[in-house]
Order: sequence, then structure tokens, then C-alpha cells
Amino acid sequence: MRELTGKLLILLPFFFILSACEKLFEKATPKPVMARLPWPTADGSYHFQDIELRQLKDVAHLQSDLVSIYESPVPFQDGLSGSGPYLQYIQDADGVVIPTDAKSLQLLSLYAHLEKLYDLDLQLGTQASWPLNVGFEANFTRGEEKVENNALYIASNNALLFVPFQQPDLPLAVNAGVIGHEHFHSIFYKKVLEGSVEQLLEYQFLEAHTVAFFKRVFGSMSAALEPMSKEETVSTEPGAEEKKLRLEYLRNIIRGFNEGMADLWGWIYTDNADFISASLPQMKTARKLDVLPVLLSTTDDKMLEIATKRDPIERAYNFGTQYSRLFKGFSDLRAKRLGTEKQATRMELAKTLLQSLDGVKAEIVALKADQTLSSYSLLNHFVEAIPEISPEECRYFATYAQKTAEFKSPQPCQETPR
Amino acid sequence: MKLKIISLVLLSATAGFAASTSEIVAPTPEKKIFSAELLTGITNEFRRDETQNLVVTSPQSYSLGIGYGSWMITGERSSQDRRFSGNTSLNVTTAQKDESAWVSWAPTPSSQWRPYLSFGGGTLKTSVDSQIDSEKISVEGKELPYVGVGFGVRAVFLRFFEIKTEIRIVNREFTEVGPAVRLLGSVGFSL
Repeated sequence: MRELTGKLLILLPFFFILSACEKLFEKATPKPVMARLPWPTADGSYHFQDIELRQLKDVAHLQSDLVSIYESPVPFQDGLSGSGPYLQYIQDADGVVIPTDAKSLQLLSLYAHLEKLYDLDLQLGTQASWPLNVGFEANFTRGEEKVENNALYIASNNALLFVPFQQPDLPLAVNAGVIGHEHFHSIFYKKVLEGSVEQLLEYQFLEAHTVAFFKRVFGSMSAALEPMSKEETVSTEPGAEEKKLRLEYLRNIIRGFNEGMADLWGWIYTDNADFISASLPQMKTARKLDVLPVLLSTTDDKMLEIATKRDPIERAYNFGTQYSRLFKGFSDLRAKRLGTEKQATRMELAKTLLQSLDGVKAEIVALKADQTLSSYSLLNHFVEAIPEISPEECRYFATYAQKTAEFKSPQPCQETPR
Repeated sequence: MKLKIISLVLLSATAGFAASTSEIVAPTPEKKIFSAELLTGITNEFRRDETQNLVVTSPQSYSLGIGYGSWMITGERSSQDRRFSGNTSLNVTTAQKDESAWVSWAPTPSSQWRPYLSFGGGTLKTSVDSQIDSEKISVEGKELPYVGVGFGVRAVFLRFFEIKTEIRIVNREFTEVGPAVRLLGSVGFSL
């Protein structure tokens, strides 16, 4: 009996310790999750804020129905191939998640912005494609060169890729405007490019190219695909040069719309017209939106640019920035006139933009072999979609549209002397 | 939580001691009954995270132990500063503080080489300094409890000098990651 009591007493300490830690067996992720993250403020600076994440199922693995996040992935088939993330974090006394290394902080911030962008999509009815594949520190090469300090969207993989960031500035994966910009490419793909690819193939001037080529070109406006498309546009058939020029023009116009409106979306999401310079200060002058617009390039201007073989990426961004500054300026003007809240004005602008993209797509689909898409196409559809446009707003657009027949001012504007 | 664990360890030690005195013959008069040690050293911890990457930490530790016969209870403390990746705009620095209490049993408490078995537990607390541009925040994490068992050897030289090495298996939070292995090496004084 004494022996048995002794043995039981020896086991007692283990029993106590295990009992005390029993509650640790319960592995429950709090719902919703609160996380302390660097978050943009109205003046464009970033400060730590507690952000509520409603769709996150597992913090450590960033599991959610909205996104599939991979670390150091490569594009593979229609998705990405790579390992899932594993976040290092602690929780403070109130249960707020605090990442304990810079990579985890970036990943959680990236996820948080995507969740907010999803909410914005729902609010606006963008029809963007969720769930989204997301690559963090993705391995991506352009030719022989490894791409760094950039982010891109690949439509064929429905993937947002953030490549390694080596600058001393705000990492792109934390920059709300950049995330909004890249996400807009997925919206643009759904609204404009998807479904118009097959239609475009019917036209003679595009017949020299393969279906795969067009899926790449129009399925993604990614700069990374530039070398591939250039190789395949080489053709020896009669009139090939003209076809190549027209194709190059169309690609450039569409890409300009895509990049310009992506910058506008970055501003709509953040209310920061200079979001890019927090991460890439070298782009501040070229991309910030709170400057006076310039005259919008006509189709002839764009054709001339292509003929003079300026850098295609620079061409697209320059053209896109003309548009984004024009629309941002319009939004400021409208907010001043109506006295509406900034947030409400940006939401109205987003709705107008989405509506105008439908018009652009319809125009692309209806293009005939001998027709080109006007560089004023987006402007025309945008102005048409503005609810109750005022004479002052009409004059604003007339100021920055060149005196060309390409600008089709809507009925209310025609009553206003230009 | 910390107090709860330390008191549990103390209680366990008492219970274990009670059990052992019922079985073990009392030490002979020439053997040392009370003992004490004051040590400092390095605790190397090896664990795998969920991506199977090996994570190694090596904080400096301090310990104070008081013994009676074959039994000794030791309080340990270690802390470590570690800077994680980041850049000038965004970076994170963490510091960890580990406090624990261990009970050990040595079959030959008066010999020069004293192998022993140990068990115990403690808490690990992480504090985080996060910086974005010019803003810096500091956050104290919760104390995470852990328990463990170990095996080690104490060697006493020149009457007062002690070298101790121990291998421990520590289960923190009972996560699916699995236990961590700690390898301790310390030197100090023994009475």
C-alpha cells in the first residue's frame, strides 16, 4: 500500500503540470482577428493601427477564402507553385496580433489590404475574380534578369506577384496604393479584356497571330511578357508591318488605360494621390496624380509615338497618367461643386469608371478590321457615364481634350460653348 | 500564470520528495545534505517551425539552485535580443525573456560527477518593437507557458567550482510544431 502511494505521488507532479496547461490544447483563432499593422493615413504617411480582419481563418498560415498566398512562388499552369506562408507573431494582452518579424508584418499587411479591397469590390460590384492567387517575394525573371522592386498582375494565373523589394523605402507589399493598383488590373481584365480576346481573333489584321499569343497579350498587360510578344509579332507576310503597328497601337492604348486607371484605383482606395513615392520615390514626378493634367494624346499622337519606337512601357504609363490625372482633377472639381465628402466622391468616381469600362469593352468587341480604337475611347465613355454633368465639368474636359472629332462630348456638354 | 507554474513545480518537488523519502534510505551523516549553486551559461534551443526550417536561439542564462539530498530546485532566467529582417522604413526587433523553475534528482549527490534527471516549466515572454518610418511601437506579448524534462550532469571541481550540462525536451504551447530541444552549458559556484 505504501509502495503504491509512493508511485502515485511520483506521478502527481506530471498530472499537475499537464492539468495546468490543459487549456493550451484548445487551438482557436480569434474571429474576427485584430492585427496591429502599418496603415496609411489621409496625409499619405503610415502609422500603426489595429485593423480588423474578418475573413482570416488561420493567422499563422494566412488562410482565407479570399486569397491563396505563396512565398517565393513561380507561375505554374493557371496558378502559382510555392510554399504557403508561416507567420511569426505574438498576441498582446488584448489578443491583438503583433507580427514578430518584418516578413510576417508585410504578409499580414498585404492580406489585410486585399481583404479591404474585397470589401470595396463588393460595395462597387466590380465583378473582380476572387479568390486571388498572391505571390510574396515571387521569383520572376524578364529575359535573363531577375525582376526586383516591382509588383505585377498575371491574368492567366489570376495572380498578384510581389517580387523581392531591395530599396530602403516602404515595401510594396505594405503600400496600400500599390496593392490597390495591382488589384485593379484584375478588375480591368474581367471588365475589358476577358471575353474580348476571342472576338478580336475574328478580325483579319490579327489573324497572323496565335490564340496563345493573344491570350498572353490581352490576358495580361504585364511588362514581364513584353519579350515574348515581341518575338511572336515577327512576320514576313505582305502588310505585316502595318498589322504590327496597329496591334502595337491597340496594345499600347489598352495598356495605357489599364495602368492609368490602376493608379486612379490606388488613389480611390487610399485617398493618397502620391502613394507610389512612399515605395518608389524615383517615380514621384511621373506618377503622382495631384498635378494639373495635360492635353490628352490623340490617336495620331499615339501612332506617331509608336512609329518613333519610344519605350513601350514608358509610352503606356505616360498615356495612362494623362488619364488618371484628368479623372482625379475632375473628381476634385466635382467634390468642390457638390460639397460631398471625399470618400463619397471617390466612390462615385469608381462607379463611373467601371461603367465607362463596359463601354470601352463593347467598342473593342465591335472593332472592324479597318478600324482602330480611339485614344479618346475611355474619355468619351467616362464623360457619358457621369451622372448630371455640369457645364463647368464639361468645360473642364473640353480644356484637356484636343480640338479633335475624337472627343464626343455628350448632349449636356454640347449645349455649353467650348 | 508564471506564479502558478512555479508554485506547481514547487508542489511537485515537495510531492516527489515525499515519495522518494518513503523509498530512499536517508543520506549518511558524512554526505552533504544541503547544497546550492549559482551558474551562468548559454541555453541553445533547437526547434523546427511549421515550414520545417530549423530555428536556433542561444540566449545567455543565469540560474540559482538550492538542494536537499538528491533533490535540487533551480530557478533560471534568460534573455535575448534578436533583430529580424527589415529595412530603414519598416523593421521589427524582438526581445525574449524566459523564466523557469526546474526540479532535479541526482542519485549520487555528493560525488564529483553527478548525473541527474530533471523536470520543470516556465514562461516565455516576447516583446516586439515595430517601426514604420519615424513611428515606433513597443508591445509586450503574453507569457507563454511551457513544460519540459531533461537529463544532465553536474561536475564539481576544486570543491566550489561547478560545470553543468543538460539536454532538455521542452514542449511550448503544445503546438503541432513539436517539442524543442535545449542544450544547456553553464559554469559557476557550488556550495
